[in-house]
Amino acid sequence: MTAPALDWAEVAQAVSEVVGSSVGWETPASVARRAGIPSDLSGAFIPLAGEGMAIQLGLTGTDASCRMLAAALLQCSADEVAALPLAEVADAVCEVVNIAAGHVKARLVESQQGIALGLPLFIHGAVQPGDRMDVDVFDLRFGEVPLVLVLLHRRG
Amino acid sequence: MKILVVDDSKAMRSIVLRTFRQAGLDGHTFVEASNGREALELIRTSGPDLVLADWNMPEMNGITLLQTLRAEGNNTRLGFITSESAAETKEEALKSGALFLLTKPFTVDTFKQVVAGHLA
Repeated sequence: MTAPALDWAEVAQAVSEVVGSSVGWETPASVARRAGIPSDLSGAFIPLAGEGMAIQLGLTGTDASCRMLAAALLQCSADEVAALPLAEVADAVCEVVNIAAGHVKARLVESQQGIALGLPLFIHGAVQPGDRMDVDVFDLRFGEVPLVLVLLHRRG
Repeated sequence: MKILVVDDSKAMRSIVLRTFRQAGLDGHTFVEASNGREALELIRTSGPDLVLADWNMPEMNGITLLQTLRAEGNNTRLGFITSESAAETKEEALKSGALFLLTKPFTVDTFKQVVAGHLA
């Protein structure tokens, strides 16, 4: 079985909408394709895998962006944002990426059964895709909060 | 009622508790677990009236938790609150004996609409 062909820009648009509604950001995000993965990033990645396909969906940003995303999900006040422990920021960003991936999975199962959603992982630093991975990267801007969506997917 | 909230995300557990408050569904006692295995032990020992469980969790996922309970003859009421929204997932949940499957993200109104009827 071959993996379904995906329009990654469409996936990015859908992810931006789910992220926005997950954290209560009502203004739609601007979504723009960008070249390359940021070299110094923080964010959460989650795998989606099925027969003939493997995707890693990553929602990343600066530490400040991740903190703003977590604060919005948790409905924290401005004072509480700065005091959020890193573990809670990571947990919240992981939860947002988990929600987004659930919606991507729902789109994928329309054309391919047996796709499994894995568990999210929060990382700091650089991501190096393997030789057989293609990469699509998008800037998602929610008002003053810039995020980067990284979609790693197996070639062929 | 004693309600067990099972999710590996502390953020999501707090959102569920917050949504109970925002929906005006007060007066319940909450217990939390971070995976299915921990929840299974709590259900066996403390007998909650209702379990709200995530689907994808480490150690033991939500559907395995539900199927393990039913295999033991334990009919504790359980509903899923999960990012899984595929029709096949919902079908498996309901076939295994879940009360409902509520997809994240959810609004306070949707939460109330789905959960309130199971709090009696």
